[in-house]
Amino acid sequence: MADTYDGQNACAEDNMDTSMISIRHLCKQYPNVTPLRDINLEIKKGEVISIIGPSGTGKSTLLRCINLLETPTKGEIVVDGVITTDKKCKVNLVRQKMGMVFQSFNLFAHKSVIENIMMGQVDLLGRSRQEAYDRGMELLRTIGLADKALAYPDELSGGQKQRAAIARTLAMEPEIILFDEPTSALDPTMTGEVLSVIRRLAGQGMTMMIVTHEMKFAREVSTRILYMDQGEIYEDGTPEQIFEHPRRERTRIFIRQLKVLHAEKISRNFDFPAFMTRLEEFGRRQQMAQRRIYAMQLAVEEVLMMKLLPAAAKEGARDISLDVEYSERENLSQMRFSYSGPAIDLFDDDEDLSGRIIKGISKEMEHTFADGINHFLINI
Amino acid sequence: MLLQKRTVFLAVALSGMLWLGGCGKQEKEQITSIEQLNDPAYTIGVPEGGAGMYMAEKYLPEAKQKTFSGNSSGYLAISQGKLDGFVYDRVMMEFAIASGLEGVELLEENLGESVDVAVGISPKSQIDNLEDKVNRFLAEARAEGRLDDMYERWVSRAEGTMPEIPVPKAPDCKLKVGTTGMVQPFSYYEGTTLTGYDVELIYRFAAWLNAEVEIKIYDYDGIIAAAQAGDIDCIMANLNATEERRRHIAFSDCVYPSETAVMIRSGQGSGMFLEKGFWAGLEDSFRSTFVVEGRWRLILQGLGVTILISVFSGFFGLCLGFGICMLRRTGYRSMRLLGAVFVRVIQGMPIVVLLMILYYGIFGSVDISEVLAAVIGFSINFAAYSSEMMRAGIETVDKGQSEAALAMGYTKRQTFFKIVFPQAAGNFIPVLKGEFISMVKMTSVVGYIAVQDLTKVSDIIRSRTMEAFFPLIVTAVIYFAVANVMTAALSFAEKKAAPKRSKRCVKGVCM
Repeated sequence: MADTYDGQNACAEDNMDTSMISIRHLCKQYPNVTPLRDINLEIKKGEVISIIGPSGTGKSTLLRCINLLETPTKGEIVVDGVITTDKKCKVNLVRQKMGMVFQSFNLFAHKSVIENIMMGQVDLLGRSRQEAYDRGMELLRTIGLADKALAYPDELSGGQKQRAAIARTLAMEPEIILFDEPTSALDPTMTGEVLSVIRRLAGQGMTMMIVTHEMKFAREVSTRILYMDQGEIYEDGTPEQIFEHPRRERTRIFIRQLKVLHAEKISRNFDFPAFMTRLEEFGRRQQMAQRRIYAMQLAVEEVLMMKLLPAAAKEGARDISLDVEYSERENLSQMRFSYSGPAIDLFDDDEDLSGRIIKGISKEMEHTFADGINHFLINI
Repeated sequence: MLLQKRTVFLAVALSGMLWLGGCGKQEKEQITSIEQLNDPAYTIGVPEGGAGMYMAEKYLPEAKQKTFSGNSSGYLAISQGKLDGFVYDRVMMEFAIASGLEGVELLEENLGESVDVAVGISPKSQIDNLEDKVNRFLAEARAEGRLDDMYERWVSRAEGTMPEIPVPKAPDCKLKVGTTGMVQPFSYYEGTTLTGYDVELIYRFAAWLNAEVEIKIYDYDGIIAAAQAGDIDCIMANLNATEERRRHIAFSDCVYPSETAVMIRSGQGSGMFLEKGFWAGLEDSFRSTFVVEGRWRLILQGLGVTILISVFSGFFGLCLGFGICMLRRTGYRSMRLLGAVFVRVIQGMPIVVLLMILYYGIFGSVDISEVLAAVIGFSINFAAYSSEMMRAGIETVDKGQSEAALAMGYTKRQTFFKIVFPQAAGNFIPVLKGEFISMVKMTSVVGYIAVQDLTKVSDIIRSRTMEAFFPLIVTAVIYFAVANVMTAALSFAEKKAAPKRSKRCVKGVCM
């Protein structure tokens, strides 16, 4: 589909690489917030890129900057060799090559579904009404909405609206489609019908960028995942890499939907009662069973107070830290203690009471020693 | 069906009003002398700024005074017993009674001394030494006995025929004269022609001056202001040269002296149609309002003017309103501010005041037709209101659709006209329709700037027939009809323009 478009550009540069869109040092700033700081990205033809990440980290802003619905504060965007951030660039012509599907569908309320699909073809691509109609009906048939061609947007369900909006975008024969949270405004029951349309497009080799919270879908449909956090592309990789072996900390936390509690520089002067309270509150917030909270508190007591602190006292002040992570999905709390110092084994002595207590409450224990740091992992 | 219901309702309402009008007020002691009225228990009516007002202040200081701008409303108040006495020019009141004003009579004695009737001279007239010229003309006419002859024919014998007066073939200048057109025998309409003593005087003076003449019709309220603004060169409208008025404009020498009399309610009779019966009375009223002297032509003219002003003001107001709406949506702060200030200023100003400022102030020195001034005024007024409605309508169209259109590759302009505006129009047209109809009715104030619209024409007819209600009700019915016809026309246009959702088809496509 995308091949039929012959790019005629007033300000074409040489276009040697296969990169369709390249973004260099893109920044978007508002007076109070900076949704995007220094984004660098190359998008190649045929890629299906999902952008994931916590809310408010600039995912939608990035998409909207690419087709200039938001004006970037700094940086450069090149689409098919055309610098679109240039003031002289005819933005509307560039946009014709980039379809966009919105969270809130944004069908034209005063036009029927088929008219919605015909309008752009007639007004912008110069097709005859008959041609536009035939093409529109063909598209509607492929997405299963042919019987709704003469309906008005307010007569459709959310899923139908979004499918119609996708058909409207496809009718313009874009080279790339930007999906801005296409299923976020839909009931779970309607999400499937929209995702299956997008899935089919991916199968046809359409270049797409999808901002989504549907992790399973992103993993299955994408060729590439961008994890965005705090206005940056924090990690960029294949679905397998991002979902199975995230290299960076925040990605891992996000992917596993972890809730985290962190404490460091633990010494004898550490305020244990306060930390115990924090731990309990953390547990309550995640709606853990009371038994699990007790177990975690017990583990802290036994590992830190009975084992690590005495050891640290023996060998002079060493850095001790603790991370507690809870994955609701896996129903697992993981406590990771790290101790910088010579290797010690907490779990060796069967006669030791603390050791037995720890064994009693944990599902799994692991000890590793590397670079002068002991890592103790206890799953509860 | 609906129309039938409306008609029935209207008829019921009308007859109710007529019956109420016919009911007299409680009788007081019959008044026989002027002195009797000099008592706080009595209310007398006086003309605004006229000689009667000063005479009443001077000789009847005790009585409660009410001011009237026109004589006909004074007569009406008397015949209905709302006033105990009406102080006014004797000749005019005699003519009013002669032409059918019922239930009133004049007291024999005059109130106070006689007052000069003179020609008012505009201080801004383009004609040099106009006052001097008027005085010379008057002196010559008096010496020839012409003035006496005119008075004899128009006033004493009440012949009411205009003699042939030569019209200058090669005029030296243009003379604009203001008159009222509402007082027999001086300045009144016979059918659609203006005639009377003052009108003959105007033509004679124009001939003497060798000038092309233009006569403009004002209320007593507006005529002095018009002269002050230089809109007219002089006033020949049976105008009393009172001290108060002399402070504003100059007056010529006396044309004739006028006497002030007091009209009271006569003991017997009164009320409408009571003697003749309802239907016969209605028929009489109909005949005198429409048929006599071909007055229906005057009504048609007035109706034409009202429709002309409404339609043109609606059209230009809509265009200007759209422009202002766009101005308020631009990216330039100063432009937005300009638009906002315009809207605020116009919305905060009564339309009458706006019209007078335009006509007497801004276009005061320009020779502009009154109708054009009215169209400009109402266009500006309508623009202010319609621009706000359009803006509200545009803002209700959700922003997402504009974004979607932009993302498809539409330009900003295309997005506005293809996506936003058609939807906004659906939102604001119904409100705009109501606003337009209310503007049609508002045009009834154009009489203030000498436009003879439907309301003014009905005033003129009322001043001839001396009828209280019938012309008013006729006017109300005509406005009602005009408003309904226009609403129907706009609704029709609206339906035509809106996409037919019920009719499921795609234009220009073989399905």
